[in-house]
Amino acid sequence: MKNKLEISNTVEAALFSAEEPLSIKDLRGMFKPEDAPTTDELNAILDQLTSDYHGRGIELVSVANGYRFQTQVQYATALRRLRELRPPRYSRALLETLAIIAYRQPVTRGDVEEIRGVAVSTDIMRVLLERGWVRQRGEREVPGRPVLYGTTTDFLEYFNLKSIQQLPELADQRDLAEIARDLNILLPEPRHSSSEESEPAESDAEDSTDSDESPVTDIDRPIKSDTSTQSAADRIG
Amino acid sequence: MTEQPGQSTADPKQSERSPVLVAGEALQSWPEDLYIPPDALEVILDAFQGPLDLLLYLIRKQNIDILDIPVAEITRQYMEYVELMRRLHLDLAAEYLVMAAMLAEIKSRMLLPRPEVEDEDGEDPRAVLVRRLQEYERFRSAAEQLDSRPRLERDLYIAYARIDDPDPPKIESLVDLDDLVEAMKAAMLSAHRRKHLQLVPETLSVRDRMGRIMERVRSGEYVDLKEFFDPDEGRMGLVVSFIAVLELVRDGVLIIIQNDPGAPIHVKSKDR
Repeated sequence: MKNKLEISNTVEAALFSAEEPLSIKDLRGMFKPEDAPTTDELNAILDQLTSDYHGRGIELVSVANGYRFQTQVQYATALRRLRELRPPRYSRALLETLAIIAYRQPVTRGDVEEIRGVAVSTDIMRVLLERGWVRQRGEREVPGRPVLYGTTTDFLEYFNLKSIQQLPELADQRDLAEIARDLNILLPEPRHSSSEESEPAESDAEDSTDSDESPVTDIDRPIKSDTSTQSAADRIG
Repeated sequence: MTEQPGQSTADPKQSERSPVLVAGEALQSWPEDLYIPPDALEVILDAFQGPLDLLLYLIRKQNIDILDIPVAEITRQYMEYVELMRRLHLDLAAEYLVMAAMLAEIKSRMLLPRPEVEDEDGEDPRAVLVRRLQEYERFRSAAEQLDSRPRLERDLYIAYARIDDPDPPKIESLVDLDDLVEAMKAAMLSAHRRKHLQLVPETLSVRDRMGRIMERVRSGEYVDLKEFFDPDEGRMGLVVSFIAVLELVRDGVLIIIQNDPGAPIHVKSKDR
């Protein structure tokens, strides 16, 4: 029976000599069954190690399904100078495509094109697939059976994410009711009968100024912006 | 970060105080800032990520609220840019012209008297455009946020101590397309030599072959690429195998490995 320190040191050594993140399962698997710590014990060890390294040049982090040691962000410049490393840059087109896939997965190329308003270049998809950030996730059951794409654990690992939910929420999209009111158009939504909506369509600009600046306490609006961010979060999940 | 069009975004609310901004009447003149030195222009125009991006740029440049687009004016400016792009022989994607048509349609629909009834046609024709612009904008900023996240190869490096292994696993080096083509050629040649033996060829499906290759590499072992080149299948079979391998690699489920230049090429399932 190994003692606690030995187990902890073994875990540290394993993580430190691994090029890829190690999962709890990986870590438990390296012990003889009778020596293996429980998942709870292992989590406690990992927490302890994480705090042991706190404030040092390297840190222990949890990404995707595993743990890895990595250098702290603030020393990247010095490290690049030392190694003469040139970080790869990615075009806006590629990042936009990747962002759409990440937030809306699974999506087809058509979905991406719909949002970006421009064709997705084969080069971009090739880079995303080659880097292993994106992979096929089946086909959509519509004529033509377009391929669906989603992000991978490699994507999470590369962008230092634990899960896709860790991405910041999408910027608030003003909900349709609000847009409609500002544009002075009538939406087929009979749920609330505020006088606001039935006003004549005279001075668009003034109306939108008013509604933007005055607190909207007087209007009963069932659809709040919370709802739209909520649904965005749902879509990510 | 490089300079990008559309960055001069001021708070749209602020601008509402200026008389220029009130839609329609109070507008005195549009800023005549379309002139940009020609060589700079080319860079700028090339930087647009499509019609929505260009439109957002035009809208932001003038501090117009996205919800209150003066369609006629924006359409005119949009067309000027498109015309410029064409004159500069930039690769003008068809999407730009589609958007031009959409803008023209909105413009013409807005000239028509608005129907009194609440039918679907009564919807402001700008609404669809606004929705698309907003949706695009959300992902444009999401992309910026993604780009600014700490990431490997730029802000973070994996810290690990290498273990010297006397019997190291095969190094996964990138295989040149040339080497692949060489392998293909060699297989083709040997197929050619047996051509006279060839019988009625079966129809071969790339998809089917892809499945068979994946089945073969499922265990995670390295498999010699040559295994998939069965000279008995003739030229057609080789081509099908070759395409199947390329497809699988492109899909990211198969990796091709060669230890040294000229060494045998192996394939392996990508799954760890």
